[in-house]
Amino acid sequence: MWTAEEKSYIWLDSFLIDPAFKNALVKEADGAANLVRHFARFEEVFAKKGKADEYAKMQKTLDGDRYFKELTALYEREGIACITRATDGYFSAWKEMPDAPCVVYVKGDVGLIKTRLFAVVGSRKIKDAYKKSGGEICEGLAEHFTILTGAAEGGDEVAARAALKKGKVVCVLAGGFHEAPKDGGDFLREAGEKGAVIAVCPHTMTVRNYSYERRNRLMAACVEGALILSAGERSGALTTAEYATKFDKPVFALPYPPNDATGVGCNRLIKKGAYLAENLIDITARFGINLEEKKSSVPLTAEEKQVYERLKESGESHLSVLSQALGVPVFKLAAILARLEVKGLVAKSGGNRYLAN
Amino acid sequence: MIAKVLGFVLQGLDGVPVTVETDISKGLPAYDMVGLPDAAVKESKERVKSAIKNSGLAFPTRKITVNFAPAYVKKEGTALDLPIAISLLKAEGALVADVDDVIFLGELALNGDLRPVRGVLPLLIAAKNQGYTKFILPCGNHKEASHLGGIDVYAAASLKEVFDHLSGEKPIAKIAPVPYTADGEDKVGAYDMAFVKGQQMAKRALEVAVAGGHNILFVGPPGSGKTMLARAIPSIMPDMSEDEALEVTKIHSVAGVLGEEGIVKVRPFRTPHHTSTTVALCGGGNKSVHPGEISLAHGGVLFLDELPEYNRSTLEAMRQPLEDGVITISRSAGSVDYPASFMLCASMNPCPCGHYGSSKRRCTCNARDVRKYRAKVSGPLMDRIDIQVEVDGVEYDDLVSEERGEPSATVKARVNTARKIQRQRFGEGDIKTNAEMGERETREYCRLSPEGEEVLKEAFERLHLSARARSRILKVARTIADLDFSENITPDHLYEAISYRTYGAEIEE
Repeated sequence: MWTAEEKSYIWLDSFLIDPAFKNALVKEADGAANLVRHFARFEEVFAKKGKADEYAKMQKTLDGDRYFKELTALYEREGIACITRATDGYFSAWKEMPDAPCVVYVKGDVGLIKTRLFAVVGSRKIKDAYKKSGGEICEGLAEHFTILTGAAEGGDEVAARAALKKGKVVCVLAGGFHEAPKDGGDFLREAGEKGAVIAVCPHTMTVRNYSYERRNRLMAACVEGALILSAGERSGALTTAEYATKFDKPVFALPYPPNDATGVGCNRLIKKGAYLAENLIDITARFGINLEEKKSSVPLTAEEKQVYERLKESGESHLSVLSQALGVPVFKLAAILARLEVKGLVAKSGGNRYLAN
Repeated sequence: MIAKVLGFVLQGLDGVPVTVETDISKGLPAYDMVGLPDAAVKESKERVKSAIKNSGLAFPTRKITVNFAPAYVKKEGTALDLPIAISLLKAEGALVADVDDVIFLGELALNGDLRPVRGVLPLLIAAKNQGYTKFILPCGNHKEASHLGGIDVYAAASLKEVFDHLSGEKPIAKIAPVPYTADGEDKVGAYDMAFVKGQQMAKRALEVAVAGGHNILFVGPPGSGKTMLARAIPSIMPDMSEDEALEVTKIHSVAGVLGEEGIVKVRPFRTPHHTSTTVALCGGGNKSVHPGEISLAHGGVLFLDELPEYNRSTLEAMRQPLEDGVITISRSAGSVDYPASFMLCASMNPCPCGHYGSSKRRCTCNARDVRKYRAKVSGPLMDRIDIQVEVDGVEYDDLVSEERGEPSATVKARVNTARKIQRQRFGEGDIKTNAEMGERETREYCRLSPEGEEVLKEAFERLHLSARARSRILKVARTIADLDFSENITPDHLYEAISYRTYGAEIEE
């Protein structure tokens, strides 16, 4: 059952007003329950802010229990749990933030938000080879952390899917639950079933440009570190990294070759002092988690080894260039590369080019 | 007096005999036609009238009634001009000859000349199967008719010549049948595999595709030689047998696209533009049902350039014929079967701007556009394309290889051997190539060693392949093994087959 404080928070948060204003109100009233009790006193505050209409609307709902009952019934129907500022488990890092939500809405495993969190995000555009290596790092990270990520396709999706294998993912929506993200697809549904999806906005709030920035800031505040899988020149993933740096959290980024449009942002982060993350150990080592370097224990035949070594040496290579260099017919080489791909040592990077992992 | 003369009309690829009956009786001059003639047949009145007059013969000025039997068959086209004229002349008594077992075909010009008509070969074949052996047809159809043996065909240039022949004044010589020779090779010389620079991966994929009859998809940026590769396909396909050639000729004859030669010896290569409608592609039409591009490509290649640009429903309509090798087109007037067993070769860009994954140019599309673009081609259609291969910018390969490619003839020899192995495997059944194998055959002929099973299982887990991809990989692996003269499918064959699926995996997600 809800305490009076929690109830008040849930009531307050259901209105579409600025979260900073909500927090200010609670502070002034010295607690959410007090705010409800003496709501009439705040008519002036609302009026000063030009929100007299809002006040009238809110005042009306305080007449009896009906509004609250309908609200909680709706949440129950949709399978949404509410973690208010007064509830045990509310992110402690958010308590001091002026625009943190009064209520965090959670679909799925509520327990996950109390675990150690690590943000893994990426822009929508991400190359296949990076999807693969990023996904592998993420899967490894999920052994030790719950992965906090966004809800877009591309980088966020890679992170979510990888972490879902361990069932430890929390996707953070920028808007309310009412408005499902336009892209992203079925991984969100899966995250809601096996992991958790949270919203930091009232149910009916629609996504605005500024919602992403706030969401990213909130994410950066509650994690122990952040990994950027891909980021273009002006990617939103970069704001997460910036805030993480501001909050003194370690930021990691996958390295990209020069002039790769999908990774310019990542390289810039590294230039500015983010940690370069080539593999899982690069990250876990910073948290004192001991991991033996994964040895390539896969037995390789002589020709596989030859191809793999060559590819490692030359970096991303075109099939015909490799074939020329090694003197192996293209179709034989393609078979060998497919073999290495299956063994997880090589990834396709598009346009008949291959990359050693 | 009543005269009866035989003609033949087309119904799809089949022919139906039509008896043209003419009655000339006393009465005011009139000229009526009954028995479901269409506009072109009705118009023949005037042509026949002028042709008879201009051949120096008399046109009866009495009451003429022409009837076509059986009355329920729709009569179309102009091939009935000649039988109408002959029956008129007979009814009037100008011509006395026994023509009960002769079939007449031909369109008349006003001056009495005979013009060639469509669909002569299918008509002759149908008539021959129904026991007719004597034919008189226009000179212009002479070549087409000469490819069918075992019948007596006389080709005339004009109505007068036919008249003289029948009345015994000036008999025409029988057409000598021309035996079939497969001389396709020199015809396709313009497009040879040797001209395609570099692109070894794509060429190999093409060889595998042709050897096993697999459909193929090229994915690559603009100007990477996808079209050139596709053009080279007929040059490495096995020669057509006589039966095949006749079947293809039949379709082309019905469609009226038959060349001078009178027979199609080179495997067709059809490239309908992406604005083509469903009817253009699959066949149709509101009165007579015409064969579409997929039927015209029967026995050869249907090349769909820029696959995602095609109308989606048009592509979906091809799914059933891709599976069955035949399309049944139904209209209120009846339904027609056209063979449509072709190799589908398609090409597409990796994204709307064409540079996704390219190292040279930056792709300017956003992720959603790329996905939307690829989703334009449905999964079920992709399923029917066994081999999907990336073709990349030419500069790359040009840098690398200076040598001239292998000529088509060499590749063709290998393809022929692989096809021979397949013929031995499948015997005389419906299935001719590996690509046509069903679930049962796949299980029987694509058995894997335990090691092979392990490979496939691992590949599935690692590469997130769909269940549908399994049979595709198996079939392609079977063909690769055939090219390798190997009884069993080895892991190497499997791996090569797996490398031809890249694109599919992405799309199927």
